[in-house]
Amino acid sequence: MGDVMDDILKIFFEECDELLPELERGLGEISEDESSQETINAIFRAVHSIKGGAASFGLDRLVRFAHVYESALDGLRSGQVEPDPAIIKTFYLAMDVLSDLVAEAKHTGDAVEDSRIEENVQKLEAIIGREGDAPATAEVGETPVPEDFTPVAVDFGGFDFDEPAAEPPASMLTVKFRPHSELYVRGDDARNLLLGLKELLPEGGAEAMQVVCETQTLPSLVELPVDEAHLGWTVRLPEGPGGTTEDDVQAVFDWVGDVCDLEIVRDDAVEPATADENHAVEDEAAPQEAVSADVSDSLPVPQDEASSGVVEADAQAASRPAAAPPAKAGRKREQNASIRVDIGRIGMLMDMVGEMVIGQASLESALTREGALHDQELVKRLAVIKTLTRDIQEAVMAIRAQPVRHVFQRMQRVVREASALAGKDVALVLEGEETEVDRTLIENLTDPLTHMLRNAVDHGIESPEVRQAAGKPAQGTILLSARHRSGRILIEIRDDGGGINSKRVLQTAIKRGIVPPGVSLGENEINELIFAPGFSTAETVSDLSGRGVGMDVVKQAIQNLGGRVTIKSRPGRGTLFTLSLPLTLAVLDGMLIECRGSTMVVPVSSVVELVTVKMGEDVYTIPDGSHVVSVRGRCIPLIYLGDELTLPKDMIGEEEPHHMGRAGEDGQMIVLVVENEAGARAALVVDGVRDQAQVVIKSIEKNYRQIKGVSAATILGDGSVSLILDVSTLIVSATKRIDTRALEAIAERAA
Amino acid sequence: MPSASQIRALIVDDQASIRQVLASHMAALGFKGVVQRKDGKEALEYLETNPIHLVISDFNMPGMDGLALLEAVRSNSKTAKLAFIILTGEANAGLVQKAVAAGVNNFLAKPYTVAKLKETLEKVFGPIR
Repeated sequence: MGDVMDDILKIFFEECDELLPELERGLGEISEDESSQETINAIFRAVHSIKGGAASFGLDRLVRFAHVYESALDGLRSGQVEPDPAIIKTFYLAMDVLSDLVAEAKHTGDAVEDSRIEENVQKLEAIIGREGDAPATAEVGETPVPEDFTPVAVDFGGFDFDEPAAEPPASMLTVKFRPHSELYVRGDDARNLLLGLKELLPEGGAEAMQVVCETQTLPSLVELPVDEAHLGWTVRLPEGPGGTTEDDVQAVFDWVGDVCDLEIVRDDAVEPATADENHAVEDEAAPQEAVSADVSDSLPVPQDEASSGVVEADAQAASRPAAAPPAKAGRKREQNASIRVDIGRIGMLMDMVGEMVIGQASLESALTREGALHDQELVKRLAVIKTLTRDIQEAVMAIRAQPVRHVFQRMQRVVREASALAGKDVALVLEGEETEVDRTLIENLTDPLTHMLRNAVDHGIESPEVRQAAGKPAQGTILLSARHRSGRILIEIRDDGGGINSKRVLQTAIKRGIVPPGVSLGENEINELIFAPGFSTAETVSDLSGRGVGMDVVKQAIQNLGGRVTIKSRPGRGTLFTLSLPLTLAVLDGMLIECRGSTMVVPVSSVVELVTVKMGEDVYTIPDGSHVVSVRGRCIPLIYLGDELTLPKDMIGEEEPHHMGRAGEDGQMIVLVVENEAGARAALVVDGVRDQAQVVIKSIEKNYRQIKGVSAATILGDGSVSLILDVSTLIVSATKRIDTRALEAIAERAA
Repeated sequence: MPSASQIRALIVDDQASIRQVLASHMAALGFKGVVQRKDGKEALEYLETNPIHLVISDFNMPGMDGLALLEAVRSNSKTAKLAFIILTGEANAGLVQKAVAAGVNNFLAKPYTVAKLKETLEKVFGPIR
């Protein structure tokens, strides 16, 4: 029993994980004045359900608090209490306590302080004007049954406690089933489905099933197209206890619902209650000419199997026109079944798919070595496997994908708490919560987002007085949105606060020694300084941001996820942080490049174009000695990849002049123009481009340490380890070295 | 009077955990094959085709609630006589009154013990073996 209860407790906690967001959503609607009675009922029910479940498991602290909360919500439900902002705030705070109490019960959170519970209890009780004056009535576990209620004993007259067999004769179900040819193509078999129906019947009850094979559309043997389906079956079987239900029948056909015509019809007329349901009944109830009454004969299966008493047939069925149903209750049921799967299993699947991608690449590379890829047949088949591998991988990813909603909704609380602490009034608006991302990414998003939102409340949004003085509404707004863009997810945090005070940022940066005094920086570059380690501009180190986590940590966390952060700020109007993240941490599409004998991977998503440039013609040396290249009238800093990554030159022989990560003798260079999220570009000088492939991302930090300019590693088809370049860092370090104004001057000259 | 295994029971509650707890308590009392449905509508659909002796239903459910289910059950001659117990944790006298008027057989207040469940059932069915 203990184990059983433990399992049920798990179910209860899962319910809480669904009920709490529901509560939050409802409170959100109420605070935005969009609520209906239905919303209020829903939030009441959420708290009520948590209380009821908690009571079953003796989670007393949770029960007691939920009870008080429920009573307060009941006041709202009955119209006694008007939801003014103060009351809604109390409800929000109570929700936070409730959710912390759930976490406490789950042992995933710290114990909630009694003083905090007490404080919230008092606030809730104040709402319904029950400040301790009537404590007894609120006692938990109180039986809501009136004193004078007498239980009513049942009248056994109308009862029948016999075993089900003695039930009134069941009505019959008529199942019309006609497979499409795809059913057979997929390897399913009509015979198994009929057998499945037979298994629905009780032991020894198979004779009650009647099967008629419909052969009227069967062409003569001479002109029979063998790869098409020509047969259909009409099966009649008893319904009800001891028999079978429509659901059972439907379940038999669950796997083939899309590749057959299926109609299930109840024989006797049914209550009008079902009449409003969708009926998928064909009007032609035309009598079928039953050619064969013996299902064994009519099945397109080897005789020896079919004759082994597969399905009992009823000879009478031949003379009885199939069913002639009052086509009333037949219906097709929707199949929206879902199951819960342990995340570990999906992770395992994901890993194996990763290995499969590598395996497939290694097969291809082995075949290329053998020169076998001249064989057209082989190439074709390999292409099929390649496509399949990719499809499987996408399908597995889709299983693990989750909407960002959960993380986003948690941010409501973050903003609520932060604004309460900062004495500001801030509303968080969510957009694109349905955007799906890989689960692993979602898990890692919570911390950076939490910090950025706290920051937005603390430093972005001004105090109500300042806002009003500036002619803005006293309440600040932060918009948190998510959307997909070219294979990545973009998350924006946009506040309507005062914007970044770049003058002060620069002063602070100079004071902290982050940049030398007298440095000349553009607005964007100054804004970027807030990501520098050890930077903090807050005039007063507040409760929130004084926690020792700076924006540099946020940036690092995002970069560790393969993402980037950019800032845009407009003084007086607000600040926009954009996070660009990959959809997954598992694989990426990469361009395989060669440089000084090493193969490296550049994410395809950051590649703009691949061009050949000539040393003397397109490449310019700017005053500080670094090189820029002119591509389509735009001057782009050149990065000599080999030098940048300090790859050893002696790894390759003298006879390979190209492998220097520099121009060859003919002055030709291959450059890969890459771009980061902010639109900054750089040109990577490489020795060659080998291939484009999907690579499995392996963390290099976990196995070695962080390397500047390298985001991760992968294993190539030939088994070698290859580095995945961190294009963004490379671009930033290249542009930092170059005075951007010089670039503009050159661009002018070139034009 | 009847043995628990003879009583065909249907549990209706929107919360899976509550249903499971009740089902496991009922199994402890000797009930067999207790059916579970998650709201009034689903319960009615089941009742249409399956004879049931006992419905234990939650009060507050989304869509069709326990009271509406009780009223629907009593108004259908096929199901009018079955035993209906309302599972409740809510101290709402108004709803209780309505349930009594609609012909509820008994109430089971949450939280409850197996003994309390047995007592509640026996008030309706007589001693359960």
